[in-house]
Parts: sequence; C-alpha cells; structure tokens
Amino acid sequence: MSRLGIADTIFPANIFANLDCVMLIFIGTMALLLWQVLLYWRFPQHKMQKIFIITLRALQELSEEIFSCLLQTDYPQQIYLYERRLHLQKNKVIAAFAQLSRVLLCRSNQPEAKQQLAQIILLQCNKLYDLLLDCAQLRWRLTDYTALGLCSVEISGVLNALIVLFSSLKKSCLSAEQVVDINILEQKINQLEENYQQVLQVTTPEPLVFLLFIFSLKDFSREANALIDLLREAWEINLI
Amino acid sequence: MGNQSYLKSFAWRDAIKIGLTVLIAFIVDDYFSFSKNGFITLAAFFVSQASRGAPLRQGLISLLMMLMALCFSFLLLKFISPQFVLNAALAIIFILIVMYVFTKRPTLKIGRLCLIFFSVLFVVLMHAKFSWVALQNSIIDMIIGSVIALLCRQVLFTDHSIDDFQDNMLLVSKAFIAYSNAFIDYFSHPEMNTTALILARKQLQIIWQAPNHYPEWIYEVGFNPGLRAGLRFFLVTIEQLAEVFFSLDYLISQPIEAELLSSLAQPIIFSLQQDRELIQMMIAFFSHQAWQQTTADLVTDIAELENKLQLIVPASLELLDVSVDYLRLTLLVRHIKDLRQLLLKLILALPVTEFKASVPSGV
Repeated sequence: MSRLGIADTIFPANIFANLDCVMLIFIGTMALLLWQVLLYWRFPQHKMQKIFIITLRALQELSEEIFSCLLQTDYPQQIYLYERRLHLQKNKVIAAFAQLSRVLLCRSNQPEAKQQLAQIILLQCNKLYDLLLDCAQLRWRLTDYTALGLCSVEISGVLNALIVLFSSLKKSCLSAEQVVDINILEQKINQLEENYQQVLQVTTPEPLVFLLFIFSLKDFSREANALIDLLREAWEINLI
Repeated sequence: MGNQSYLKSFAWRDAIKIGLTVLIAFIVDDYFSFSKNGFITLAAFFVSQASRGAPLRQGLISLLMMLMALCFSFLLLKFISPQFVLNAALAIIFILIVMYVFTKRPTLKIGRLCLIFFSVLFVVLMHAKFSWVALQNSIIDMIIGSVIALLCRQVLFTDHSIDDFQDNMLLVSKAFIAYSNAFIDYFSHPEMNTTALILARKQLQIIWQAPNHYPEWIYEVGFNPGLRAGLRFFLVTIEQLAEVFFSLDYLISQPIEAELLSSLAQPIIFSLQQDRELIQMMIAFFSHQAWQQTTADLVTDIAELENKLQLIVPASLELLDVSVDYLRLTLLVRHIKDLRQLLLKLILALPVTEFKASVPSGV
C-alpha cells in the first residue's frame, strides 16, 4: 500500500497548484458580499418588521402544536412525542422574544416613542404566549380525554381562526392597508361556549376546566385585539 | 474552572472525545486506507458527533447518509463527464441544500445530515475518478471510520446521563425558587413593582432555551430504555410547572378587585411558601445535600384556600361567569392547586424513600 497520506490528497502541498479553484472561491464570496453591501441599507429598516413576523409565526406554530395535543386522539399514547414538539415551539417563541429584545437594545438611539412602542409590542406578544400556555393547561387538567371529542369541531374551528388571525397579523406587519379581523376568532369562541353550555357542562365530569379554557381563549382574543391596535400605531410612527 | 470541572462538563468531554477519535481515525487512515480519499477520518468525525441521547442509532444514521451520498456521487461521476458540469452540479446541489437548511432552521439534526451529504459529495467529486473498485474501497473506509467512532464513543469518557440531568434540573429548580419568591413578594405587597417577577421570568426563559441547560437529549429515539421513562416523566412535569408559572404571571397582571384578592392573599402566600419548601427539597436532592424532611402536611393549606374561595365566589358554574373577577380568582386558585400537585408528582418521582413514607395518603 502506498504511503501517500490523506493530507496530501485532500490538501494539495502547493495551494497555487489549484489557483483556479482559489479564484472561483474568491469570486463566489465576492458575489455574496456584493449583495450584502448593496442592500445593506434595507437591513436595519426591515429588521424590526422581520422580527415581528418571526415572533408571530412562532406564536402561530405554538398554537398549532397546542391545539394538536387537544385534537389528536393519540396524544395520551404519544405524550412524549407531542411534548417534545411543543417544547421546540416554545423555544422558538422565546428565541424570537430574545432576538426582539436584542434589537431593541441596539436601537437605544431611536426616538423614545418608537422604543416604548416596540417594548409594549414585545410585552403584548409575551402576554399572548402566556395565554397560549394557559390554554394548553387543558391537556393536563382533563382526566377523561374522550370529553374533547364532544367539542373537537369547535376546538378545530378556534384553531383555524387562530391561524387566520396570525396570518393576517403577519401581513399587517408588511402592509399598513392589511385589515385584521378578530371577529372570526370571537365567533368561534362563542360557538365553543355554546357547546359548553349545552353539552360539556352537563356531560363531562370536569366542566370547570372547559370554562377556564374558554375564559383564557376570550382573554387571548382581547389581548390579540390590543396587539392589532399596537401594530396600527407602529405603522403610524414608522416603527415597522 | 478547575480541571475536574472541565472533565465533568459534557461539552469538554465531548470535545476531547471527538478530538481523540479523529486522531485515531487519522492515523488508521494514513496507514490502512483503501481509497486514499480520507474517508476513514471523515466518517469518524461525522459519526462521533452523533447526539448524546442515542449515539449508536444516530451514528448508524450518519453512516447511512454517508453511504447514500457516496453512491450518489459515484453515479454522478459515472454519468457526467466534463469536470465543469460536475462543478456546476455541485454548486446547484449546494444551493439547494443551503436553502433547505435555512428554511428548516433551527432543526439542527437535518442540518447535520445535509452537511454530511454535501461533504461526502464534495470530497468525491473533487478527488475521485469513477471505478467500481474505488466505490468499494470508499465504502470499506467509511465503515472502518464509523466503527472507530462508535467504539471511541462507547469507551472514551462515557456519558453520565443521570449526573448531567441532575445538574440541569438543579439550575431549573433554582430558577423556580426565584420565580416563587417573586410571586410571594407580589402577593405580600401587590402595590410594589413587578421587576423581580420580570427578572425571574427572564432567568427561567434563558435556562429553558440554552441547549446546555435543558436536557433535550432524553427525548431522542433510542435513548437508554432503563432511564427513558423516568427522566422523560420528570422533564415533562417540569415543563408543565413552568407553564403554570407563566400562566400565573399573566393572571396577576390582570386587574382583580383588591378586596377580593386580599381575602385570598394569605392562604396563597402560605401555599406558595410550602411550594418553595418542596422546590428546596428538590434542590437539596440534586445538589447531593442532606434530605430535608418537611413538617408541612401539604394538604390542609390547599383545602383552606379552596374553602376561602368558595366563600367568595358562587359555587354554581352558571353563576361563576357572572363576574370576570370570580373567574380570575377561580383560575388563580386552580393554578396554585396545580403547582402543588405537580411539585408533589416531582418529589414522589425522586428516588428518596423518607419523603414517600411521610406523604399523607390523601395526596
């Protein structure tokens, strides 16, 4: 067997022997850097907008994971699988909050009104996060999961309304004209409440946990409405 | 940090382990390689980076990915002849992989597998010429490298899953203590500002998010079956505890009639103090200190809290949603009750017999 080492094969002894490769790597790097330099002015302007969108997307994905725990019938059997997914989504939201806080710290030279509003939006997103976790408590408080089958249509309706809400919130970060309608969510929550009053309250052994769940959803809807107003205000003062 | 701490830290042990594995693989590659393309070292490097939860399974997945990339690249070598076309194909594949990884961030496992795929593709397309013998030699080299990495993984600096898990849980428990202290301060003086709560919340979130502090590896498929059930149960319960803390945090930021809240404040504070005692017992366990027996009965305070609540809010569910304050108070008490239940679940899951014997039968 020859004693030509692997180092000789992978890394040539004389780098200039592969000069054309070096040139190609250099050209590739420059092509990338050129765009970064040319579009640099756009980065700070759109950074806040981008982070708001990332945060809202993370919240949307978290809500999807939480509701999948309530809607999927195999949750009690596959508990660790769902909990891991949920943990990853929670981490994404916390990472987005951390990113937003960092950007706010970097922008300490901005007008105070803008900084304050951005802080309030961050706090508002934190409230939505807490409320989603509050809603998620239903999966633990229930001892009989079959009770969820009695309101699965209404719960999936609420989930769809949440997806629509977050999608339009994300769009509202991109365009001031985007209208965000909270009524769909409120309507779906009302449908769930009707189901609670007519079915769940009399058939399930733990009606109180459903009542608390609906209460948390209503709080969520109220806080989401406040966020819509804040985003509108953010457009007015050119924060996003 | 002392030398012992360096060796105790998983990151350092892993770094030394990977370094030694690559060194051994490099020496073997230099003397016994069949393909002379450095595949023994490359395979050892990638396989040794398998996740800590299930190194054998992850290592085999890495090997499989490398073999797939190898076969794919030899196919490209066979059917595409001019070098510049190969370079263009490599560039396109690279762009596609990078786009895929970036859209799937932060799922690092996919990123690692993509990196493995591209590295093998790159080495083969840049250095090899097509022949069936070369393909066969490369496969043999990769298997040798993987075997070296898997053996090193099992023999050098073996994992201390339980110790690492306990260290992580110690940090989380300390964050819970800070959080519960902040809640006790809040209920004692509701007029004070909530800076302590904000700081405690931030601390918990930081610990939660840091990969070194959160033992996510116990969720790995193929993780030690003897430890899996117990550790997962503990971690999921800890997660739930954090959720209740965050929910409580939101709830107290909402307006509740001061008179109603003050009538429940004392039982809530007492309950939270008992909870703090339970968390301190967990800390004592995780830091290998003497087990502190609790004198509290852990039942009466919650019963008293519920009794007080029933005096304030209507017992009937139909009347409960008459006032938002009633619902908020009910939710608050429910959170406090959940906290106690979860903490007891955690304490009972610890392998300490003294406590289990002292827990009242009703808990």
